[in-house]
Amino acid sequence: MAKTPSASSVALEPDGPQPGLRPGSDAPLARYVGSAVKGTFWTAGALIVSLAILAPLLVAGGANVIDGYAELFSATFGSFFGFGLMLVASVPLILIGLGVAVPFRAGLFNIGGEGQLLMGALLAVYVTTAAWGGGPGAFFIPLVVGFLGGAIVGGLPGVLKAWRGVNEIVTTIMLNFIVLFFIQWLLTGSLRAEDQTFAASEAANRGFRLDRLVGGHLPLGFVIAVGVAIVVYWLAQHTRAGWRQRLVGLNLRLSARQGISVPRQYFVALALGGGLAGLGGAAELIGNQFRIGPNFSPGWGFTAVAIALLARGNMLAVVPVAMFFGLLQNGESSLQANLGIPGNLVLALAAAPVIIVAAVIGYCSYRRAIMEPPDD
Amino acid sequence: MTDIIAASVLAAVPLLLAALGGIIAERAGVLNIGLEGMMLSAALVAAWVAASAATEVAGIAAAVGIGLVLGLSLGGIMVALRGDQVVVGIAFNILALGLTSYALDVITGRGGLQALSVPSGSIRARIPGLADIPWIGAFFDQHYLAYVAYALVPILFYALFRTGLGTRLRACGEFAEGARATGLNVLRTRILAMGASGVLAALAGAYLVVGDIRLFQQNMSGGRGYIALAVIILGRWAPFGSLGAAALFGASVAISFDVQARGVGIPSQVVIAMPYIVTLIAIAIAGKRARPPAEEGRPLQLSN
Repeated sequence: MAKTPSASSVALEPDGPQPGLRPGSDAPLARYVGSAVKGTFWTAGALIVSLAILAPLLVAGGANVIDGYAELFSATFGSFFGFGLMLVASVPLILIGLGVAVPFRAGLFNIGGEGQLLMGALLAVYVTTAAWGGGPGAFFIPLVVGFLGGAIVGGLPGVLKAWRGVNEIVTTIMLNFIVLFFIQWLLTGSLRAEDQTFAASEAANRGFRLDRLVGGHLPLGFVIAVGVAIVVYWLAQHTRAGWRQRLVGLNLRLSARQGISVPRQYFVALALGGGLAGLGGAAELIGNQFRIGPNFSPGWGFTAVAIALLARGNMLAVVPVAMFFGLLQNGESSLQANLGIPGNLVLALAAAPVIIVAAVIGYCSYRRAIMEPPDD
Repeated sequence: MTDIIAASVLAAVPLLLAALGGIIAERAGVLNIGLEGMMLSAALVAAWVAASAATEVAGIAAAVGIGLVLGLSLGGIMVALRGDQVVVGIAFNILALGLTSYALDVITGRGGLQALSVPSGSIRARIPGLADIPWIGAFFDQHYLAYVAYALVPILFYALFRTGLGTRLRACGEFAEGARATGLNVLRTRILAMGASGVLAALAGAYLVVGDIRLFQQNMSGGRGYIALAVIILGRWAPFGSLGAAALFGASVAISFDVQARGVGIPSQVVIAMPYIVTLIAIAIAGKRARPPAEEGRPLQLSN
């Protein structure tokens, strides 16, 4: 009996699940990778849904809905300073969002952004608190080191996925906890700064910190993050290496026929994704917090998963989507301070529209598949 | 030794319950990554209702109710609407993490108590006779939900592999088009399997609250839903196999606590990280040999 192919891989459905690959479908995530125009439409709709979900949460938190939205937007658009804060908040979200989007294009889920960004930030702390005080352009060093730290944490699940067929979802999330507890252990001893009331590291030396350009309103970290997004987009869309990655995400069997080593692509995708998340952690460290503590990340690794999914794997779309959630993150702080709303809003606001988008895409492609039976 | 067994059971029971829930869904062809979020939501509801109603049973009942609702809703999205099971599951887990953290702050009052306590009550139900056996007596001096978990292992094995219902459920997970050709309603079977999966995940979440520390903390499921996915793989999608795998995890946690308690210089963070390290190593060793049900994660591309 012939299997009914999914809409995305009509002519090239494999004979059955292959060992080491996600079972059931040849192109597990291909349906989520949208063309630019369609992607914009879906993403805009999802972000409106995300804003709508805020209303009942504001009511539950005991605030007036109108006041809440006003506070949320004025936190970013009320002043140049506030707009700069939104840009700062977007930096880790853009970079870690890219760290999810890269493996996503290859058909893999990286939900280990938390561990990867923490490792990136940790190594950046060691570099930036060492003897040398830094100087012009020195910020480049912690960023590279942070990338390597994240790439190691992402590369391990990459190796296990590529050559042992181990599910990357479980391994990446396990590493989140392992890295977090490792840092908490370091903070009880060698890493902890003596003069801090709460457990936190020494602050990064001034010579390594990221400047603010244009009269202090444009954070350098934001410029770097957008630059990285453009480079990653170019790599994915206009190079042979990016083509191999995308083909693995779209059709495993065709990839193998083209002589592409699927395991190697899996490893590269997860290591590169981890590296980008590590870069995000390092950029946050030298651009905003300067110290690492147990609450360094408010869940960026998870928000980033939602960002990459809402951007539908488009590296450039990650930037505006991440800025939207940067706006929410920035507004959350001000809602907490001024209206007494609890924190942890952004995670829920980011995840809820993903479920809706997934249901809509799933249903539409199913309708397409049964309306137009493919010729086989 | 008794302490080690008691601690092992405490750590293993939530993993076992969640894994059994995952097995039901996966055997029907649905990959339930949402176990983590279901556990977390049910734990919050159990703690909240138990605290407000001042009875533990009300909390467990409410948790089971929310588990059923979540299981059926996610089942509807994944199975009937064909939303990608991995995307929906992960997004649901993130949503649950955000909403439970937010709700905890709303319920306890921001800046106030950051944990929701359950009134103390009969934590343990001793089984007379069995509990007095040396060494293994500790297995029978547990919270009653632990006995539910023990009992579910043979019950689920029998139901899955020795009854017509179980055969039909597994047919949906191994060869859905064929199952449908014999007149089976694949979509309904899968959605109901997700409902059952949600109930078991909810029991696991309730056990975290009522069986152990008797309070709810932010992100208290702490990745156990994902560890349960590993337990399922190690247990080869079978109830007794998962019992063995869950016991391995429980014992590793208990032994690391015990070693630390003996004053050997292991940092407490290493002990807390043990389940995650063990999961990583175990799943890496299991590797390619693991073979899931053939239709797992694959939506039915027929109008049924």
